Amino acid sequence: MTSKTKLSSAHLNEGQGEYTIQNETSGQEWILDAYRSLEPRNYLKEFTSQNVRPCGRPFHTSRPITILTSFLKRNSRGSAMVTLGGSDKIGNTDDSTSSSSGTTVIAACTLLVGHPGNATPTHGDIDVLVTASPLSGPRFDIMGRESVDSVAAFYNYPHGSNARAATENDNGNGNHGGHGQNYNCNNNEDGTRNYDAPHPLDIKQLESWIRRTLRSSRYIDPTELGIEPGKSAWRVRISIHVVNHDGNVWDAALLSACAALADLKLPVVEVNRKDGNVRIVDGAEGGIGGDDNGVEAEKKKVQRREGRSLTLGPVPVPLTIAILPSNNNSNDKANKNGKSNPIFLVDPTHLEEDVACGNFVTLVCNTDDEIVDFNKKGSGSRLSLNRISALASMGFGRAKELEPLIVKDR
Amino acid sequence: SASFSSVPFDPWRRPTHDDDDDDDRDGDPPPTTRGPKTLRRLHLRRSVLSQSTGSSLVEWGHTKVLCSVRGPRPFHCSGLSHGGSGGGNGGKAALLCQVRYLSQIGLRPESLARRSFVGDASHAGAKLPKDVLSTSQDAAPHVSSSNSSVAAFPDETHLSRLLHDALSPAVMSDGPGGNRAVDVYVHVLQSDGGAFGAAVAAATLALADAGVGMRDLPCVGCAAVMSAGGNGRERVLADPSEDELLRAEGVVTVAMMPNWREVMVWDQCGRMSVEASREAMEVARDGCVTVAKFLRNCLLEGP
Repeated sequence: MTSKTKLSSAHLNEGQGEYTIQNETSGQEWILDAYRSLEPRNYLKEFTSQNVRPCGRPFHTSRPITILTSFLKRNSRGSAMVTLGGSDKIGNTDDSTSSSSGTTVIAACTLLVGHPGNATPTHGDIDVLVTASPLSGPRFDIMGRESVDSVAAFYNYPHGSNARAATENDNGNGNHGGHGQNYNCNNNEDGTRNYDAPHPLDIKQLESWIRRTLRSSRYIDPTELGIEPGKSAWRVRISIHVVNHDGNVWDAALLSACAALADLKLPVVEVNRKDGNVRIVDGAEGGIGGDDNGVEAEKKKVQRREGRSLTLGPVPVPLTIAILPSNNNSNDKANKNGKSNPIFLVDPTHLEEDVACGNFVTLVCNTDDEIVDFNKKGSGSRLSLNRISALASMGFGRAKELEPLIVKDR
Repeated sequence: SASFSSVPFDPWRRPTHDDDDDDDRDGDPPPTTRGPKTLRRLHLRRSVLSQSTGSSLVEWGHTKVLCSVRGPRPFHCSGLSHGGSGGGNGGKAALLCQVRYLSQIGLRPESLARRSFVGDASHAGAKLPKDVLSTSQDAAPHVSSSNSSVAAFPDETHLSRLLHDALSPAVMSDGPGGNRAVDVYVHVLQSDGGAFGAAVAAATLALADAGVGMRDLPCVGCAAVMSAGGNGRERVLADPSEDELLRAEGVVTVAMMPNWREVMVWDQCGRMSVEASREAMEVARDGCVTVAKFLRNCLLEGP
């Protein structure tokens, strides 16, 4: 959407007057926008029937990924911003005439000192917190929850929303008893009905998934996070904020968490042996003379631990694939034998996620040819074993592609 | 902490910490400094978020602020602004402003402790005992569902209120076709002093980006009054950074519409003499005018 400033008032008096920014979208763009908002399924079908996506990508291509690390240095010790698609925001791109249309996620690590558990006296811990806000997208409310009920009325997903209305009783769509819908019926080619509605982003689910994946992959060695065995250990809290939600927040969030951990530098600490206090030594004080410090340290019974970055294991690289329900490709003759032939879209955008109605596959692989996590969500699709191995090989390819991005300069 | 009082403070050589990015350089080029009336480097970008009607990113020195604007939309279906910070118009807000620090990382705990609006400022020591940081946030998982740490919340409400005061005279919410409601959401990614100034600048840019009609571009200038020291005269510094804010005796923040030459917000805290207060106000006002020029340039020529 181009916008130009226009002087709309006649009298100019040293800057006084009215400046307005007019958005000069033509009539055609309005029609396109309306079609996309009201009938996203058909809109997407227009593209997928030609084997392409609205943004011009082929089905199996993901958006270019930009990772910017160390940009929040004041209050956190490791930070990263991951942008899928779009132009780099904070960097100095001087030629960005279009707004960045990518999913952007910021992750930053803060450190706390805590008590290690009894069973693992040398282990530290990683905690994950994901937040979103109205900044992230038009459907997010102040608390960061995405609500779909308000927009479900516009979509042609009548059964999903009406079925929920029967139980929740708060939908303004009117309750026609759930059968015999006239204009709203969404029948598939083989007679089954579609009960799906777009699934909102669940940040709690995302949080626990990232935590689980980070802990179960061998990315971080928890013994490196210990300070004093049995007494104190680091707790790394990764705060992830969804800045712009344009699809595939899961990938972006995990990648940003990994990049922030790669960027993390544990500070130099002084451990007071008598009372176990851990004190972070500021950089400026760290360079006081060597011998003196050793003698002093012995007197104070204080011990220094070196600040360092973490040694990283293989990076868990996620890959999210949206599965479009099979009634989308009604032109496909392969539907005759009843087997579904769904369309797989790698790295879905917001529109594609909505149409997929919660049917995703998210797999996390690393370069050691291991699958760290495999998650198939959604009730509207079923996968065969061949499909799964095809997806797994895509995941491995992506792991090889993305690992150098995260562990660069190390 | 020890580092503040040990390093002598020279108002003509205030460090700008621009070289903070490279830790392993041995300070070969000397760190750049700025004088007492120089503002920090300002970096403005418009239209950075695709899912918001209007958005902007402002980097003011090391303070990074992201703003998103929703609207304008007809008044009666403003679903999110039930009894927001509207005040005198019967509980319905034409302009909803919300400032949030990015959870856990937007604000340093020590600045929260020293300059927090909670409680008495004379308790200058850290009001958050050390174990609060490590235990309370972790032991209560339901607390982490809120967007910010509990301790920062009064600051956020105060800033939201100030932002509303600064923006509402400028935003024309009664256009042709009825009243319009506009939502402004500001997120402070990193606060290094001057978060309010950056928030107003970001909000102004985002509102303009969203196409909301405005009477003028609100801008904010901030000045800190440092203690008298040896020669008995207080020093006034423009656009203080976080470290300078922590050492200041008093801070004056002024929001004004530069073309109309009217002040919307005058927020002053701490103690200072009358002359210092007047001088600080003038310094802040000059800062406003300077920032206004940058804002206009960004709107007229920028992306």
